[in-house]
Amino acid sequence: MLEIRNLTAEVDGKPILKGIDLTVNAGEVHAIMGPNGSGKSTLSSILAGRDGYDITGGSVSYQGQDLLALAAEERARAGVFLAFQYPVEIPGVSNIYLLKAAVNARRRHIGLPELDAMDFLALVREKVKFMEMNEAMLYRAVNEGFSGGEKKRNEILQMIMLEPSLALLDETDSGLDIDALKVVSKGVNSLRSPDRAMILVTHYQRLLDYITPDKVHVLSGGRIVKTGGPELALELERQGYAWLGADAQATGAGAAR
Amino acid sequence: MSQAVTHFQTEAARLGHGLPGAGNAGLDALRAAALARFVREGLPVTRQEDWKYTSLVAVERKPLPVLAAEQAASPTLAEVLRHAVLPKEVNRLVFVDGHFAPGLSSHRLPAGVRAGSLAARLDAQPQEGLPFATSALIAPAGSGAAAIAAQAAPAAVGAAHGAATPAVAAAHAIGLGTGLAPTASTLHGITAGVPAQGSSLAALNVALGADGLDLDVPAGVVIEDPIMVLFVSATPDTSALPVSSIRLGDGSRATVIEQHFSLHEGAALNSVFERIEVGAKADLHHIKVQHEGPRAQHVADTEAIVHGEGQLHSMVLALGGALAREDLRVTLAQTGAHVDLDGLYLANGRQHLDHHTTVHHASPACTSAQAYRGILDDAGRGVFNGRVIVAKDAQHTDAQQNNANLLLSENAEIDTKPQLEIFADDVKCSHGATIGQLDPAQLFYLRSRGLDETAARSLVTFAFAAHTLHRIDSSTPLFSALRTLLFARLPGGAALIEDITA
Repeated sequence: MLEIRNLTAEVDGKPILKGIDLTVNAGEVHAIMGPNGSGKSTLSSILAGRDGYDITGGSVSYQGQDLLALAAEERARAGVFLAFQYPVEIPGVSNIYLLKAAVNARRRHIGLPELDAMDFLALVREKVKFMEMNEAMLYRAVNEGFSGGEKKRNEILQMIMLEPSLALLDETDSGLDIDALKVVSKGVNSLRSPDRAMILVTHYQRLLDYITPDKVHVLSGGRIVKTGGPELALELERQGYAWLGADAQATGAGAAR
Repeated sequence: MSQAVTHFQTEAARLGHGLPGAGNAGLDALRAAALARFVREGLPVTRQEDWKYTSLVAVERKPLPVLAAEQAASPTLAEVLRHAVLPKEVNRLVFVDGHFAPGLSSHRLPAGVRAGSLAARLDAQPQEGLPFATSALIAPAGSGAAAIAAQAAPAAVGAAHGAATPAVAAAHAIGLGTGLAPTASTLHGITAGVPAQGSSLAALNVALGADGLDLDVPAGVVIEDPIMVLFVSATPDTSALPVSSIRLGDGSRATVIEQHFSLHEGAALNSVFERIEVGAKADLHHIKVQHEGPRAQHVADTEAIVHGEGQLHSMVLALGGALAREDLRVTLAQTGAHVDLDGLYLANGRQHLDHHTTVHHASPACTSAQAYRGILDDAGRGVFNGRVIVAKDAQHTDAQQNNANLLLSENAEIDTKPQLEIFADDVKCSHGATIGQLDPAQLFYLRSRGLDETAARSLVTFAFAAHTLHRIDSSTPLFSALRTLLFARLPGGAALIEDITA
């Protein structure tokens, strides 16, 4: 599904990613953890195609295509979805319009006819209910005036509407109370399937109480310094990131494989 | 002497005797005094602070002839309705080249409502004068000529406002002076401190304007269907100088949709003079859509007064013309009056769109909410100058003003100046202006959901523009029609048909 090879990137001349190697297969859920400033969000932004990063080396292959050669919208249509750490408010544009435009852009790309208004509405109502959201929010402006929890639910609503092949969740657990965290986790778990891969970027372990990853990677100083199973997250929760310091230097980029 | 002054003096000599009500001493004197002011001052020039950014040099260099009623073109109804935002509306008043076109007009308004041609009214009842007060004006401050003019036009003063109190009637006077209106300070303080209003071009309208809308809704009459008023420029290379009046009696209600458009792409001057009065507890929605041709010069002077607990909802959409200047002044004259002013200007190419607003809180506990937005593309230029004046007695005023601008190109420009002048001490006022570009975070968010960059840019731009329509019920044909009109003017907009708005 996704093959990242020795990826290096800079922002304003400052190296952020210093050689990332990561393979995510279909059906897998990977968690990327790490301290603040380790490059976690940069990695998810680069994968989604955000401007402002200089890719200085390496490659990213997604379903056999060169992901880095695609524009952000082409990646989205090809099934890459980023749930934003800070979902953007777009005053004046209704949520339902964006959902419909997004779903139809994806459907056109994969050769399906656009959903008609009735079918779309039926689908979106079902998903809104599943996410335990109020239907009225469909007619509100995208994220405008939403609470932190509402924004995150809205991201997951978009995700389950779009049914991506590769979902990137950037700090989706931050700012969530326990109820919202459960609902968000329910949405994410509902998408787990053998033909779909997910990457959860998170600072804390608690999201992983609800979404059990297949692999946990620790990103530190722009490199993946340790890889393990779910038990690695628990260890990080107990000990913090400091203990990885020496280890990180010793194992370097090779630890990811 | 200025070319424009010479030209319009000649036009006045040619057309003056044929103006409606000509021969009536009061009207003749008023027109002569107004022309005298125009001759004395000429067109507004950029040396004047209020005209710093907006030059009428095109009008000065090539002043265009004014058509007499019989010279006005006769377009077909279909030609006119093609541009109407609500072509099926039953109430339709059409003016072509500055003159009422009875054959294109029709309405089903309740008995007692006067709706039609000012010229017809002046011809029939010249002794009643213009349907708005014209005392106190005509001459510069302190010259004493205002008093003379007032004496010369007694009919105009006396008949001015019917039930309205003399003080209010006078406050609504067309201020044609410069500086402070000479009589303003005597009007029981109502307009104390407010500069006399109306440029020299507005004076030219009074001097030479033959026709315009005359709408008078008696007290208590509620009109549900909108009244479409179409000002059509049908003959290129001409000037139109309409003079219009809208009056709502106490407790009445109406919606007026006023459109200004061209049936040609030639040069034209449309100098619009309009006076609005909203009675106590009356409610007027006034929507003005200016979408004239690419070489048109549109200069409008609108003054409104709102009485106790009356409401004026004003919306101005400036979409067309090479140059358009809108002066809009509102006086909240009695306790509890309210005005909201929404405006949108979309300039592209080399368009120049200027809005000057003044909201005068003259009485306690009045409210105003002002939101003007601009989208400037190419080498388009916008000007916003918004004044809010809170008089000393106007305690418990609530006045909000905001001007937001979106610059879509490196060559686009906006000059914005919000101004608050507060003389009372117990008020709630705010103002602000923003100038920005499309937000890259919003664009990336939309692209990350599969919208291409062009669609994302259009969507964010539309959303910004559509905000101006927020007071109109989005389920109405008017809302859809206005949105379609707006979107058609924005890059990539013609393709957008679905409901994007929240």
